[in-house]
Amino acid sequence: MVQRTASRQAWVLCAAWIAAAPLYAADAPLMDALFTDHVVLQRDRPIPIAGHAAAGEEVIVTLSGATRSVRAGADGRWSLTMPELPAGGPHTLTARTATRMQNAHDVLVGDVWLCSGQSNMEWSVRGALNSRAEIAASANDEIRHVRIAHASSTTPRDSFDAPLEWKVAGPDTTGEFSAVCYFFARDIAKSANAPQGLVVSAWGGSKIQPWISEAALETLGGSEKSLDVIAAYRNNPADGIAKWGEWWKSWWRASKQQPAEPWGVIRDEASHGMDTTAQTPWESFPLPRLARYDGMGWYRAHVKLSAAQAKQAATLSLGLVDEVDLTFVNGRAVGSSGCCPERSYALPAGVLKAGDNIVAVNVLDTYAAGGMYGPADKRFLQFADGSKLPVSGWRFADVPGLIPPRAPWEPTAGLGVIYNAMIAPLGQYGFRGVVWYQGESNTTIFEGQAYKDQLLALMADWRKQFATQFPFLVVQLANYGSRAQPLEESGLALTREAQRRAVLEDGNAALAVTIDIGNPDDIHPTNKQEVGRRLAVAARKLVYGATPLRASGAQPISAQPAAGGILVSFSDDEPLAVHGSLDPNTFQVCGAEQVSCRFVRARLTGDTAVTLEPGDGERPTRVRYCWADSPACNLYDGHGDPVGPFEIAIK
Amino acid sequence: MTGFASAVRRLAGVLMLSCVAGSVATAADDAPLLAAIFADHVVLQRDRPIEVWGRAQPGEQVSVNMAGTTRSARADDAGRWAVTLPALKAGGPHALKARSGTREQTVRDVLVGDVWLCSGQSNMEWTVRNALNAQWEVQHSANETIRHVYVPRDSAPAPRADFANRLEWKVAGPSTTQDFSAVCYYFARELQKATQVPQGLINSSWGGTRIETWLSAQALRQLGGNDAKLDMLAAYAGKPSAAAAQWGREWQKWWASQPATAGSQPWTGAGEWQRVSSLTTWEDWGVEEFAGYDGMLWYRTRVKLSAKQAKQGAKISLGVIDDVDLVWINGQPMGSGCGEGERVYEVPPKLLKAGDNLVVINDFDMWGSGGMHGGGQALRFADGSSVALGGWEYQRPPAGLHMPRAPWEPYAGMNILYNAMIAPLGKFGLRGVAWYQGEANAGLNDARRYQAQLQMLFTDWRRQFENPLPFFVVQLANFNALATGPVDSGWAQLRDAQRRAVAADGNAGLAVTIDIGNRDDIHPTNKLDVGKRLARAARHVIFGDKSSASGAAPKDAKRAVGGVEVTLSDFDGALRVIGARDPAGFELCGETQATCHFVRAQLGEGGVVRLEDAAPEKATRVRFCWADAPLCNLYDTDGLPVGPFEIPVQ
Repeated sequence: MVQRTASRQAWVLCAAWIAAAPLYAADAPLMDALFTDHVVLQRDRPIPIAGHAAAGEEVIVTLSGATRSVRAGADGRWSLTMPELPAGGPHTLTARTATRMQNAHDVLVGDVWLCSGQSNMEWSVRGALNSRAEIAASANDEIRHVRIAHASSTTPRDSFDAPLEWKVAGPDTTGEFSAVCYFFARDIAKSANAPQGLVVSAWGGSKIQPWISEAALETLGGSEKSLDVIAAYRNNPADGIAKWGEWWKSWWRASKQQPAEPWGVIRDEASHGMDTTAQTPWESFPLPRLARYDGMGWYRAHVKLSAAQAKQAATLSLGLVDEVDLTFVNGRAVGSSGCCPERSYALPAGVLKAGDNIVAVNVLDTYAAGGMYGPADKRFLQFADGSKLPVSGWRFADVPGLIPPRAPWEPTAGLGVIYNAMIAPLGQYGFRGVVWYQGESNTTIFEGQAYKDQLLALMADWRKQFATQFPFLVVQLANYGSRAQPLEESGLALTREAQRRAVLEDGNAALAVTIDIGNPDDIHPTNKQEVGRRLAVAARKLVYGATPLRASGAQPISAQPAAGGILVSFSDDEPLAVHGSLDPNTFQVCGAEQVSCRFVRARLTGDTAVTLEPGDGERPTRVRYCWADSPACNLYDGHGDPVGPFEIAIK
Repeated sequence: MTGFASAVRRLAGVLMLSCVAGSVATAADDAPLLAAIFADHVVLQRDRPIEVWGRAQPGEQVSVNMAGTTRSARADDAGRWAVTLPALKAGGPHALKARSGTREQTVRDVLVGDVWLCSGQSNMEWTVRNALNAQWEVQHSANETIRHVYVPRDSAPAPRADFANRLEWKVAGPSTTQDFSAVCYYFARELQKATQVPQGLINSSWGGTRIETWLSAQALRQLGGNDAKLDMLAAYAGKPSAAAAQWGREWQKWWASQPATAGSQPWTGAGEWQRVSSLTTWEDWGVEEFAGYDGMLWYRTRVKLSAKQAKQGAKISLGVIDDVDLVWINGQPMGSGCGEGERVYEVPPKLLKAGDNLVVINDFDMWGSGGMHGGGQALRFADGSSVALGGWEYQRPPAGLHMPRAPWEPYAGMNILYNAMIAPLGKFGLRGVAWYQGEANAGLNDARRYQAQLQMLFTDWRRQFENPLPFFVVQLANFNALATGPVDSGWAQLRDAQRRAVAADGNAGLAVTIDIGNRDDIHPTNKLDVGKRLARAARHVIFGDKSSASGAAPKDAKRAVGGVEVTLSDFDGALRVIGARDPAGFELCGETQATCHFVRAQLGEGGVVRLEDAAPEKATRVRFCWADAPLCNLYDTDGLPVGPFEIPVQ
């Protein structure tokens, strides 16, 4: 998993480890990690403050002349609410007990945004367009940014492991700010007339599922088996792994791949796969089809054990596996991890046996170098008596075209695990709203179809946690990938449509369309300024209620049979315009099936209407616009923003 | 100067300035016998006699040996010698040995294969490190037979016989390829799949530079219109202060001719001035308007001199000035330079006077940090004494000025890069040239001159190398804002100039990149496809590959009933519209820009596109894909886009 810029699975960082809940020492901070110097608190609403003290201890908090106190619970946890404040500052926030005191200096009150998602939200100003000048000109005491470190957990946490540091925008700091979040806030600050606080909690390559709590996933449905597995894992990881292994095996059997049981005994093994020392990524194996292979592969080896060895407790070490492994010993799953630490799994009693033992490692690589590789001496069995036995003589076989399910505890692909460690600890911190830029890792066709409900579930979930109906500003995925398969179904287009529909259904959300400012060759487009500007346009309407601006751009209202074809009507307050051509292009009509989709001629007929000539073929029931991985669309609204991709029914 | 400054910022790319340096290496006793390009790991052109040259003592006999053959020559009065070795087949490694009575030099690990000169501005300079998939590509780049030599940025007022410094050929591999020109590397790597011979890449390019800087003085004179600047540059090579004075007077005329500045004469000290808080780059002043400022700023100070000081010979030291400066003393222009280096100018006699003296500087910053900084500002006199220059003030000129550019400026001057970065290649054996330049010439007026300039560059370089070199030209990619209506775009004009120059040449190929640029970034990172398309053109032009060189080209446009019929030719397979029903981006025009209008287009069989128009008799021109960043959707079966064009309607 060497990093590359262009990949749909853009893993910006590798795994974090599941850590035990932190313990509070007597000199630990009284207040939670966000309440430190330069913090920005949400204006115009009661301000929740929380922390840890000794059990039963009284905690007194003062802020801007107000004092409140509360007694810590038996677990030391305390929380209270300070009276609301208008935009302004600086203030000092103080918490004290009989024995301790903690100050947060230079506290501002303004609007606070939670910026979350995957790599395009993490993307720093340094990596954006024109970064040098942007950073040099960024000094602004009223824009502050804090980044939550990557972490995952199978149980919700009430606080962060590491201290957090609020940074004030300036030439020494802004380079590391989230570019989308910062450019958004910079734009908003011009009209909001209030300090802006940015809490960035994002993780490159993450799917949406790890960002939703288990409870919400349960309500959403469809993840029951994985939720069972993660529950088992929480009680006893070995049980969880075994359970996951059985589930995974039934998935493999259903895929009808050969051999039927690659984790166990294979008949005619010599004819299956190739020998490898497993010292280099599979891309360097002497098989042309592996030269740029991303996908699944099996590594298998046999180990002969004496009865004395087999009886002992043992640990299997595999060295580096790039990216995801599921490891079996004698057909039993013994471990599975996400990218890319060195693997070492304690083997449950009874797994090893005297005589021949089979180690089978299933590896999934989603981009760049992949496989189990590195020095041979990293792969061995170590027994309780301290002796080591190398595991060697590996054979490798690729399994093209098949993507395995992911273990539910995997940080970027599991269930609720990022939520638990990167959202839950925010408690009920006051936010003005959420900026969400995620979805690149949920763009298979199946995932695209599921995404709308997942996004709605996430919105409901987070509002429940923060006990506030805050708005969501959603960045719709940009153009990326093939320009050339317009009439095949596009998972990316489905996910974009899911984003659009979730926003419309929610009613307290807005969409920032970016279909025209991505980069077909690079999943990380660098023009984050325009993304931020469009988000700010959406926020001014949705959050600040400035009337002339629309929240999500021109939207299709209806598609109806009419004289001369199908009339598509748009909501907008100014005339639509076509860029660089006479007519709008990329309109399709479809019947029930994908194969019935066809491009049609379109004309602007009226300020906010387009008429389509349905052409020959099955009677159309749907209109699609700008529907491809990387479409080049030319219809813009009266404000110069693109009309985004959509599908609507003809009625 | 926000608009202009940001345009310059985009154009300038990665800049490291240096100014014209006058010195030329002389053959010291221990200097290498062979010219700088002949260094370890060099690749020599196969299948043609091999020119080898260098410097020795005047009259000295030099013998050269490679692959079993020896040739010798006698150095001329200037110490120059040259021999021609017989042609070799692709292969190696060989050793190239040169020997004189007193010296011997061996170049090791010489390969024979195809050698490419890759030149242009930042998009050619752009390294693999900054291109897409860099880490992967670099890691997997080990290849003993692809070699790259970087010609350092340099400029000179007169042609040089050799490079100022040694050159270093690097063999492709995980520790080197990241610094190769990405376009050049991917081009060669692709070609090697077809030819299976070693590839030598000479990367002589410089971000932000105009085509004029890459032409010889002879070629610029042939083109016409450049004589005044060429004369001034020749004068600068001899006596910089006199040339600067002349340039300054021209510059003052320009200043007086601008509506925004007419009547003001900041070089006399006139106008409103503010104190400079510290001599740092102006980005560090802590003044908001300069935090990200690229553009022009005036500086002034006064200095009191005694009669004795004023009478002496003097030099003025100004520290570092970033990027381009023009200096006046007592209202008289007397110095001009560029680059991030220290400025020291000889003060012409009688310019200084007893009592108050006025020093005024015009500084133009193109990119990144700007301003006079670094300390050491002083007048230094012949008797060793000096007077510090302090108490500086500044004045910001109005925005939107397009300053004339001195002929010795690396970006916008005359022939100075040709002199220092192409001329020293002498008659080095090449297989061809890859050229990726034009962003800096894409203003509307400049673009109209570009076809003639590019054709002249073909002629000029072929003349120098005495070799009918094929040229492979990267057509500029899509960049800049979208437009709703038909526009007169300098970028489109420049692309068409590139297309026409290539079509007129007969020994050139075009790589169309209109679909793989980045609207927001003048440096698109997908260099792999650029290299592949260049290689395709080379396979066609040089190696006779049957695939088209560049994809579809416009053949003609004829009036028909209810419209105009455009015929395209030279494509592979069939034409197809991607992502829509009909081709987008067709315009019909009469004589003026105002008559251009978009028309409905329909793709027919055999490369015919029918344009619907109510009054085809008024159309004299067809334009396609004509804008800075057009949205076009016509491709051939091989996936090559139909590039932008304008052709007459017959």
